[in-house]
Amino acid sequence: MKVGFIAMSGVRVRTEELAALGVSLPGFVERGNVIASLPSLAGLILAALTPADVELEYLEADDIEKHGLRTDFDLVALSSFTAMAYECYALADRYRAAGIPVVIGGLHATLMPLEAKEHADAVCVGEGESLWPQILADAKAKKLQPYYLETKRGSYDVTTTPVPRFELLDLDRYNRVTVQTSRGCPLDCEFCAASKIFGAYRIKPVEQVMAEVDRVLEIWKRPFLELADDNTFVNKGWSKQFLREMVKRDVRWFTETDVSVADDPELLSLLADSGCQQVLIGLETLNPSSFDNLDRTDWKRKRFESYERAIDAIQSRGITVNGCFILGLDGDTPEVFDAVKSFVERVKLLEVQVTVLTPFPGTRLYDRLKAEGRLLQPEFWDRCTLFDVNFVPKRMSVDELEGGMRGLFRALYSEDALLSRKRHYVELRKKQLAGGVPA
Amino acid sequence: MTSVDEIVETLRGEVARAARVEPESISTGTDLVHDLGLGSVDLLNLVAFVEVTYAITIPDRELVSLTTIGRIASKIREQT
Repeated sequence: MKVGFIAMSGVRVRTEELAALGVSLPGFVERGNVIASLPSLAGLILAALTPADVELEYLEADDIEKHGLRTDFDLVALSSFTAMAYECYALADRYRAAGIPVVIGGLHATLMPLEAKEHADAVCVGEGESLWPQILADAKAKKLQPYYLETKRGSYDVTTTPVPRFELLDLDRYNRVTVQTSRGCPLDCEFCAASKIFGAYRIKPVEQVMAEVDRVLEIWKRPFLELADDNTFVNKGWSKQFLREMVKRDVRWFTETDVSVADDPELLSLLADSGCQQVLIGLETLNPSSFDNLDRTDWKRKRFESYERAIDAIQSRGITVNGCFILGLDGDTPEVFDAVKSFVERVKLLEVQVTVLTPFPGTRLYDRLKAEGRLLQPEFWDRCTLFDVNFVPKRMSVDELEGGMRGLFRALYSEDALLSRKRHYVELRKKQLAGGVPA
Repeated sequence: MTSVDEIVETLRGEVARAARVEPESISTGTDLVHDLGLGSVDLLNLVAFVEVTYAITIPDRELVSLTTIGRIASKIREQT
């Protein structure tokens, strides 16, 4: 039996003017290229759960586009984010037309299983590790079931996850490889689909994570790791233990976290010593009224006033901050664009990511906007790119949101703006080198 | 005045540390980005090191465009 794992990576902005800006603004292009070239961790984990007598191959959807449909598989496994769902379905349809059974899993299929089933022989609903062995056994016996369901969301024990089969990757085509330390995030924001799927926040033991890092180091001389986490440093005791181990390894890495990482100087120093190059932090908004209903415990509103201090503390250690803002939250008026621009210019975030509020299917946000009659179309998955507007904002028009966002992009991602922020970072590093900031 | 050779040796050591390679593997023409895999943040860190060590200022337009130690050494010599 031969299985083909096909990953669907990258997204294409649909709004023409935004798409044009996306390929012309230097700051926007850099992060977009990184995201588009990340391998699919799910495929590599499922490969590790595949018995040795099953032949398997890891492919990117681009491979099919370039070289045509590979038909030497007995089963094709597809996984995609919402924005790529239609392309995933189109590929699935081609495989099924060629007589090859298809199983679809991942974030979108888990949230929309009935829709996915129209294009697949089987749908994997939930985290794949606990379901894959049965799917494989049924495929071998040519008795695939229509749905494979996790017993309870978030019930999978992540401490049993095997080391992903990183060796399946053609390393020349990736500039980063992903390692996961945790699933979910306790903040459970209204817009977050991952929180919905993953349920309870679960963390792997440090020794398990380091086994994955060490496996990457065996096959990649100077790796750059992207932790596939939603919020890495929730547990500060675990975080310090993890960072002490990372200090011993020769890796550079990136992850997502929240501003609380700046509360603990010891943690920050370990972070800097461990090779961490950048942390991405969801700052979300600068408008106090936009925090309404954002996360379960109002945590982000309580931390809002510490943003500037936290960013400075992190960047002073030589770790750059990629600060993320969401535009179009219910408290946002047209003044939001200038507020974000002024903040970024003042605080000198080395990198900034500005996205539009996106009602992903299955989220509390989607249900609320649908109930309020504010969705622009009933189904808009290929516009779930984080840059296309799919809803009616509360305190401005759709045109104001789109136009304001374009203006903000030009202001934040222009060459002059980038150079100004880069110069600020150099000055911070010079202070550190001169002994002004603790290393 | 620091000689070009001394500047190159200092830069070679700093770049080797950042790129995690042996200093001997770096020539004045080695491309720091394409050959050694340094990222834009690494280049900014290198600029900070150069500006502190040699008390010079690299123009903002050149912050991430000086991608060989030969070019950086020339820039340092221009200003010292």
